[in-house]
Amino acid sequence: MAHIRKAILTPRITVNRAAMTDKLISKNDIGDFLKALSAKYTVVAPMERGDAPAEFAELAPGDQPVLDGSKPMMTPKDYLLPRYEVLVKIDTSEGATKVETPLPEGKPRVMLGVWLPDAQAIRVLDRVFLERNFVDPYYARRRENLIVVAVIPAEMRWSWFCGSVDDVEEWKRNVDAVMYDLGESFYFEPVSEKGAALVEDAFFADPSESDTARKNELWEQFKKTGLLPFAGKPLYENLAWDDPIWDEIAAKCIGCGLCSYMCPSCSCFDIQDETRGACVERYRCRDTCQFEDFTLMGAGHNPRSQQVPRSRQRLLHKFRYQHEQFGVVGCTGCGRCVELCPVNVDIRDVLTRTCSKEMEHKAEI
Amino acid sequence: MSETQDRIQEEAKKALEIGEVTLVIGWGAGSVPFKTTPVFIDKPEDVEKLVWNPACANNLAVYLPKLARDRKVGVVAKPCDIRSIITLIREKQIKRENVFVIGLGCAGVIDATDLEGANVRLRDVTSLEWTDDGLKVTTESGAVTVPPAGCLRDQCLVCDKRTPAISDVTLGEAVGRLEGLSIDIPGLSEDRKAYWAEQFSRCIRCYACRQVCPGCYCESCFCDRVEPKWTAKKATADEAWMFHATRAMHLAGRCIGCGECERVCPVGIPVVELARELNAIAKERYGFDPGDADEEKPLLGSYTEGDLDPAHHSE
Repeated sequence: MAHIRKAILTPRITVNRAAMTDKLISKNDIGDFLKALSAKYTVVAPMERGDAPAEFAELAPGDQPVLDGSKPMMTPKDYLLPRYEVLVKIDTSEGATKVETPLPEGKPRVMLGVWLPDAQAIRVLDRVFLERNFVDPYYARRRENLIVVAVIPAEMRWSWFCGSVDDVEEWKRNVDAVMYDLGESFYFEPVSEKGAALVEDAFFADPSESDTARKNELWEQFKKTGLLPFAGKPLYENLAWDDPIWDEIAAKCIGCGLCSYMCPSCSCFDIQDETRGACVERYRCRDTCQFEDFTLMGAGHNPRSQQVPRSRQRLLHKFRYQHEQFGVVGCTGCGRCVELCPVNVDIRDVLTRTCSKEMEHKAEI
Repeated sequence: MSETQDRIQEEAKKALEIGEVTLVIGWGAGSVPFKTTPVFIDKPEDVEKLVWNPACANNLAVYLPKLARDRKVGVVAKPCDIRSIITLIREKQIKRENVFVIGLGCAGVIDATDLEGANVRLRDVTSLEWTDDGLKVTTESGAVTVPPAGCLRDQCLVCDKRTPAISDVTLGEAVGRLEGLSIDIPGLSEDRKAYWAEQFSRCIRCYACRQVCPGCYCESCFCDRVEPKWTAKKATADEAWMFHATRAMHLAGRCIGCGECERVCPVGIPVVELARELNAIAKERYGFDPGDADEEKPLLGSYTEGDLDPAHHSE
């Protein structure tokens, strides 16, 4: 699997942007474009599900995905790291023991309609599942031939704070292409050669100067969205182990797993064995540091038996430990937890407050 | 509205100052004007943090089993939250004398996502306020008034219990039920099995519905048990069905219909519909209403020989 790791994680600095041409595609041609793409790739994009958030799914012919990033959506994680995935099946029913490891296909995939913070969150997942001398084969199979096309919607979500946590210009260099919603058309900006290869002359035209100006305007809007007092500050230095803010959060936190399950970069999972007759299924499913049993040891000890350390863990992991381990910020400012937390624990407020006050007691972590 | 807010602060301050309580649980300003957040006030000078506005959604009774176990706690509560408190007292999770209820007449709380449908950009909202015509939404570029039917949460639309059933202090005005409105419950239609299979297929098992529910106070939930494993952790429709159906049965005749489970569900599962139907059955068969302060015992703890048993009697 080492080749996969290399392919995905090699910085794309060798790409010559000048050699790639920006294009424009009318929304009227999107259906035909998807059809053409489907001949070469498995196309994965957000599909609406009634009033529920759109969910990334492999498109079937005729599907009309939400490509403009305008709707609330589940994370790409739900596709790349399914909420339920069988890792091993063991069957002893016919005497001999049959062992099956149902790896996903490594087929070429293109993922469309990905919010840029979600696209960056895939890079965070890459660090966890493809680095550190271990490549997760299940994740890698879906990831290895994946082309990621991010979208900048016409209207930024109120909860986004991407520019406050990281350099979004850098994020843009990490995807294969970016689509900007210009209303009647999408401005298509290839970033990598793979992204450029998606362009089909039949559906794409050259953008006018005004199209490019509108695209640039949209990008500036994205960069400005949710710029908060902690923007550009070293968050990993400002979050302290013994900050009283953890008590404050824990007092109101009801201990559900919503924030981490809806987070595009939270990657913790559980592995469970399920026995039925002579068959065993070992599967992977979600788990979260917010649940009391997450750290419960077999012998009964629980190092995080109270909510205070659990509340602290979520923030420190994202902004400190992942920075130390992988050099990335584990939060990409997608705002889902901001919008959805049942008790309005707003991560933006937490960061604002921890960064604005004098940190007199920066204890060693 | 702000007058009521002032009164809440006064009452909370008084209760803290005279030592009636050592803590008041209420709503504080949220991180955005269309949300509020639970606050825990233990000093008289902090009562200014308490707010009362159309976004005071949280049912704060959820905190009582832990916080009012050994001491008297003040809680600011809407009529539905008070029905939860009644249930908690009846089920002996808290003592009546351990809770000081600042009860509010209620005009309902809003679903902020509905405002987007009314062409309000949430990022522009600066304040929300009930007026005679509906919800006045003030934004950076002016103000619009959204009719109640266009912004109230579903359960508030049809709520007919807008005054506190019990309280130590009652504040604010109730607004009568909106006539001519009903909740469409597709989950009880003919093809309800297919309907719920689709709903449960979205469940991510975050347990926000359970954690936010004042009725779900079990210290150890059946679905967290490893041995025996009642329901597996994997997020499949079948396992989610097991979880939600069991939870609904556990709440039969206990759910007071505050709708918190539905409000917090990140994937839009209409969880409260299940309990609503079971409660309708409890009411029809046994005349039991979980929010009724006069009921002395829980429904499932009050068997009498005359109780209808549908398994043995045809209705």
